[in-house]
Amino acid sequence: MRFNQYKLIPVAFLFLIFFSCEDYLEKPPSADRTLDVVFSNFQNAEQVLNEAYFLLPTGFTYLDQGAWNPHAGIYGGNVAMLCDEAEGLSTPRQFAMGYNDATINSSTIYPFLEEKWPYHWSAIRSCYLYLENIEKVPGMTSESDKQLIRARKGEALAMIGLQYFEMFKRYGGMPWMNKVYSPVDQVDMTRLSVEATVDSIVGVLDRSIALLPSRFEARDFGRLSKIGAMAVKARLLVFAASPLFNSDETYMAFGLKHLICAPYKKDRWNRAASACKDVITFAEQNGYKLINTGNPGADYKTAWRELDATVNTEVLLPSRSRPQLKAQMYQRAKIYARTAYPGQYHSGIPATQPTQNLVDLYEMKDPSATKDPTKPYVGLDPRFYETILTQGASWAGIFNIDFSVDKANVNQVLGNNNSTGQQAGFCSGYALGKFGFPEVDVLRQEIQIFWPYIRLSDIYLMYAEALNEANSGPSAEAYKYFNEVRSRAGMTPVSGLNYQQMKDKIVNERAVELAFEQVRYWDLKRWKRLDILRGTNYGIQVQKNKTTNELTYVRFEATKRKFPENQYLWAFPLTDVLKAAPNLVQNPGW
Amino acid sequence: MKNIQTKILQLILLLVILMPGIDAVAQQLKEVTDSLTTYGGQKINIGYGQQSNEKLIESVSSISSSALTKSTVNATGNALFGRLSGLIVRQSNSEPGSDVPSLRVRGTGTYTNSEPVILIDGYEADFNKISLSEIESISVLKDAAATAIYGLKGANGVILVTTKRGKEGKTQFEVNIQSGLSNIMQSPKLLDAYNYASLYNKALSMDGLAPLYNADLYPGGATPGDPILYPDNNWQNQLTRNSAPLHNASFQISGGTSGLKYYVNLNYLRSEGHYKYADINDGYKTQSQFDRVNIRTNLDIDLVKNLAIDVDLGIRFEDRNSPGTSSDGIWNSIFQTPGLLYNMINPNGSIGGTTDYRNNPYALITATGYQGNHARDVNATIRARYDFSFITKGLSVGADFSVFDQSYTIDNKIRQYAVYNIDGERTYTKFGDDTNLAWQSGSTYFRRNNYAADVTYQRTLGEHSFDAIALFKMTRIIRQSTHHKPSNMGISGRVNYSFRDRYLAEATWSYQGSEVFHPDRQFGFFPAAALGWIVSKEKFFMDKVPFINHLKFRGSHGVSGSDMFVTGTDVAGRIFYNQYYGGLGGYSFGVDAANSKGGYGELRLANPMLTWEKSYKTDLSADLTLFNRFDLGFTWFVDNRKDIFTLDANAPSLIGISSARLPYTNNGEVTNRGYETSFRYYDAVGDWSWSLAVMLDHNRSEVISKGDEPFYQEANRLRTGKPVGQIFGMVSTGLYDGTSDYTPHLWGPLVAGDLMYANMNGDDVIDDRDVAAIGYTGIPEYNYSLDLSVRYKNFDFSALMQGQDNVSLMLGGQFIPFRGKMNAFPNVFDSWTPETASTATLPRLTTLDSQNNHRSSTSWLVSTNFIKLRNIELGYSFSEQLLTKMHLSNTRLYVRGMNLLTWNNSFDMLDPELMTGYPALRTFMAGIQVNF
Repeated sequence: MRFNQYKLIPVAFLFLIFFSCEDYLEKPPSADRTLDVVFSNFQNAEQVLNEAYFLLPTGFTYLDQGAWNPHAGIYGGNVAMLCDEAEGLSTPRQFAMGYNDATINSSTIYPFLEEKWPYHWSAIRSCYLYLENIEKVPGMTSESDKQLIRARKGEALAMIGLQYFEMFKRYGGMPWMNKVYSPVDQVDMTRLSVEATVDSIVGVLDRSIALLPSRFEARDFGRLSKIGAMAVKARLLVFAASPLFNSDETYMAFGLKHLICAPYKKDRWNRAASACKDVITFAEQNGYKLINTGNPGADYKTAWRELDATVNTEVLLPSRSRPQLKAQMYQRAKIYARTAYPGQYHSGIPATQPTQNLVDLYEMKDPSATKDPTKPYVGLDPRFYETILTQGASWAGIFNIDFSVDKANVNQVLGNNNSTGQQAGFCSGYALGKFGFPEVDVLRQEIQIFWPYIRLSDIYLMYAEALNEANSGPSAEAYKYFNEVRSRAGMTPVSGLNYQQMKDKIVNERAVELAFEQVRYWDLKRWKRLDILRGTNYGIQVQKNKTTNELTYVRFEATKRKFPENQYLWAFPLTDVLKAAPNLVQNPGW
Repeated sequence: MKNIQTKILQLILLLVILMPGIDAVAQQLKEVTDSLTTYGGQKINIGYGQQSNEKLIESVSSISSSALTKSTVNATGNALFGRLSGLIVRQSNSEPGSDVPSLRVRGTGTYTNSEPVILIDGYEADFNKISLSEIESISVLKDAAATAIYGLKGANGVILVTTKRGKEGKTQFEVNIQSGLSNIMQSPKLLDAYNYASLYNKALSMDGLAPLYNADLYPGGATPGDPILYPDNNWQNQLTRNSAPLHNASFQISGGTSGLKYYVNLNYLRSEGHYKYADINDGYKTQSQFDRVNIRTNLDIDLVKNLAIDVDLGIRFEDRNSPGTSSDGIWNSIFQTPGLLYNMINPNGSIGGTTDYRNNPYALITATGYQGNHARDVNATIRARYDFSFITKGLSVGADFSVFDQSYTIDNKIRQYAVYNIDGERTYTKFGDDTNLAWQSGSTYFRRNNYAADVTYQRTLGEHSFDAIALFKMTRIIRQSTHHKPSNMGISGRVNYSFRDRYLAEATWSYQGSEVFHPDRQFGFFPAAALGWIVSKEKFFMDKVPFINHLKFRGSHGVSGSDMFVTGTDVAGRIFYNQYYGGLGGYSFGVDAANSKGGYGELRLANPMLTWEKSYKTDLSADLTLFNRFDLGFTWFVDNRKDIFTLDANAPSLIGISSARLPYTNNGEVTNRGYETSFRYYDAVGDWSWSLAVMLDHNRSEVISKGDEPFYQEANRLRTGKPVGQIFGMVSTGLYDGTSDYTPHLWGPLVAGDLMYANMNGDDVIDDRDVAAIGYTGIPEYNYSLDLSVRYKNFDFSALMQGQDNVSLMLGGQFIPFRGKMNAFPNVFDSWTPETASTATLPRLTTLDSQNNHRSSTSWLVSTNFIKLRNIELGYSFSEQLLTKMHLSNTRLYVRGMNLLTWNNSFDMLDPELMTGYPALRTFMAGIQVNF
């Protein structure tokens, strides 16, 4: 058979196919954002840190992004509902009562509840991602560039410390993650002791303090500054010195004592005091001070309302993770503003309502005066009127709040009813004024907000507390800073107190000065004040005589708080305990 | 189920006993068994080749054209019920043009994608869109030997569709025209106005609420009132017609010379829906309607010496029309809207409705505009084959290019309507507004390019025969809205060897890569082997047991893969080996909004080690033919799926990755076991000939491990150890009598008539942790069919019954009486009321949502077992003498019915095959087939 050259055509065709498809399975070129792209310039890299900033704690809890949201709080409600500061309403109230009735357990502990366990770890991961890669950014060679990178590294370390502190106060001793873990890495989830956890956090914070510049520009309001990192350290050491963690006795029987408390040492208070003193000294050198224009109410409000750092010299760590309120989305302020109002006027979900217990803690401005039960809100501490709205108070001039019920037809169920006479949910008789922005309803435009994570007055009060504890009585220094907080508020200074009296004054002053700043519940726990945690919450029923318009204020019992002891520390989510078994030892009672 | 097995055994025994004489009536037999695959020389299509049924050692079931064309269907899959062993067909919608069933080969092998791959003439394409008339055969490839050659596409089984080709000889014409109608199989007995009013009032009073209706005023009540104010609509009767036309016509030409063979098919199908009032709008119809034109030309050209070219072109045009509301929306409204709410049409011609009930089903059909969908498919293949016999006999080389190109455009015109409520004064209150038609458009594009080349070698040398193929194939998908092009490539091969025509061996393999895996480990190797022994060809056997005509043992083992779990279309949905970063929460610095900055974080964590799922399949089979009358087949199989694509849900939170960004891993294993049995009996006596085929398949999967199984402390909640898709729910222990002690239920204190649940985990409360595996899955474990064909002189008759067993459905939604104020299905009468306390099986009637009673539990679990008469056909062929005079070679008249009857003993609400949406249909057709 004669060979035909055409016979080679199919063979050639075959070879062509084989050799033309070398890259056939490569993924197409694309604008994918990979690690190299993210760290290709400083501006892109900043965004990795912004993700950690987004996870800073805020008290402006909101549900509009769903319950799986780092800022969702207790179903939109606030931790104040868990103690004598506030009563909740609607679904947040149900969840708060879940704590009271101990129906929550380690498998239901989140997402709807106070703890947002995974988000601490997400923030820490973002910080490590930034720290491990920021040096890769090309072209950052000038001295100012290097300083900028030093500062950002300081911020990242400070946020790691802050997130660990937030976990420490909730859980005690923690496992320590110190890098970006990949899914195939072995993760050691063994909990450190309380002492080792505190030391590790202090170590991270000290590194950050060394890197951070002494002040940021006004445009950086919201960044974790040097004084912010120092304040977190002070707060951490005060917690570590407090009875919950500084104790030979666990609050419940527990074999692995070192995971939830450290052996009692009075000296821990000295360490706390010196950390507070460091903040105070640094503040004095760098222009941080209590706002005091002689107008106590307005100054008190400026401290949580003013974003201009030259005016607001008091907030040490402003969190802008909830950066603004929009008029049409005002429900985002659910927790603190309209939400506290009775249901008949606005439709926001009510959440946090001040209790009579808190109202009782406000002293008369004139120390010689006594409270008049018929005019219960006259002549009180100026901070009262900035914090709590009472019967008849004005909502940005739009309406006057009316909690009253017809005296002739009093519905005694939880002291509540609304204008149509139906039950509208719980009403304590008070609404929250602090952290409310009624002007948005008038302005109809977006307003910028921040959350005062730590204010200088908190540091002053902790300093006084630490000195009182360390010296078993108030020193002159303790009086000095304690009275500075009082006198800014227009209250008379205190003097001549013994250890216990000073201690009681501090408890009171912290409740009033730091009301609704997410402080009191954690204070009561670190002090182990079971007497308050298991107290009775009261509300006030405003009864109106429909003919004479005369008001009668009747105290009523809202809830009896049970505070199960296991809630001194939260439970680790069961899923993680099981995944990490046996290393992530569950806290007692869960 | 035991009953059915026993019955089938009895049947087999009976037939064996009644076995008639052994005299062969060969020709008649051949005719009657033509539609069945027999052990004879018939060629079965397997992956990239053919094999005679006799020497087949792979697990393949096959159906030929003559059985397929006993059905008239819109989607090819609907012609396959009960026809192919190992293939489970499930209907989920019956709206004309949307009635594509889902297919599973041997049940469920994985908890990711278990859909088999479907190839038309070797390349993936949408087989539901081609006409039955153009199909020559369909093969289902099941075991490792048959599927390993498909590499990453083989694990879920492969369905091969082969289209017809021309044969050398004079031109043959076939005209086949069918016309008929379809109607709705089963109408649920929903409550009429009087019963709804009285029972709903009863439920309200049990809820402590005031009655809403005065039942006496409705038709059937004691004092019927004004029918305009007290209507009684039976929506289904009022809005659906008894029959909808269905037409199919095909015209086929085939023939050829030695140099050119051709096959041409032209098929037209029209299928209409069942809505009344579909013609009342000017300019458009709101009927569900499906029109399809199929054109196929398959050419086999011997171009030059040794070089043959095939040119195949299949084109489809489809037009769909339906009301502006989806069929689910319309049928939900028909089933769920109580008949007493308002008039369908008010006396003044307006549409009835109230503020709460605006979904008047009549309006959904007629007043919401229409939806149109116009689609075009092109399936084009060119094959070249060069015969290299001049080098060595039996060697040839082929190269193919094939493209499947699909697009459609949407032409919807949607409007809204106002409803009017009428009161006793005949005044009308309007709710909603009439709007003008608003146009919505959209279009999609999809193309799959395939290139392939192969070398084949077939040779018989003495007692040895070889059949070998090695091939290269690559595939790429191009589609709208993504620049990512899913691609596969690889080489594969197979060697068949037989010695003395009775010792059979096969080795097959593929080395396949997919673009979804990391470039360093993109390719997987998938080998399989099979052995067979035709015992009946052994001399010692033939002599001793001559009545055994065929006995073959065969077995196979091997592995095939799956990358089909990756169902995304864009880079982020397909490429998991690269870490991507994206915008998450941002932050604001400073005092003004302008300083708001975005945040970047890791999106889903990358896993560069991600690999394909592997299916280790083992098959053991025996085939037996006795007395030239009986075929028996038995196959046992086990399919062990490893490395199942699973979310790494158990990564600890401590690594800082939120649940939405957890990586995928290969962390799961499923074993699927089962058997397939078949029995056939065929015979002829005098003018009679007949065949009877019975099939029974069983499969049951078991999750061996599942990486994302939560750390449940209660064994009763574990998915591991249960079949894939196992239904879970509470185990009802009865209805509460109102007085006894009981374990507290999380969902509130019980009142009389509430469901009580078993405490599965032994703690002191009944809650979600007490759920357990109840019933089966939604995919039947047993599938069986019985196929009877009888021929007497010029008459032929066939019937196909198909059934399923061990399959469950959890009722919810409309089947929970009065839930969401819906009308109630007949199970409302099983609900507890104080009067029916002794007989009730369902919890107390209520108009409110009950967290305790309405959750998934054994009380709402039903079995969707059924036996269906799928197909029945009676035909008459005119005598040859008569036809020859008319120059016709064959003329046959026939009538057929499909889905005629359903037997189901569990419930009487809707056909168990389709419990929601467009209900199941029954079809009657008459047709004429002329060959000339």
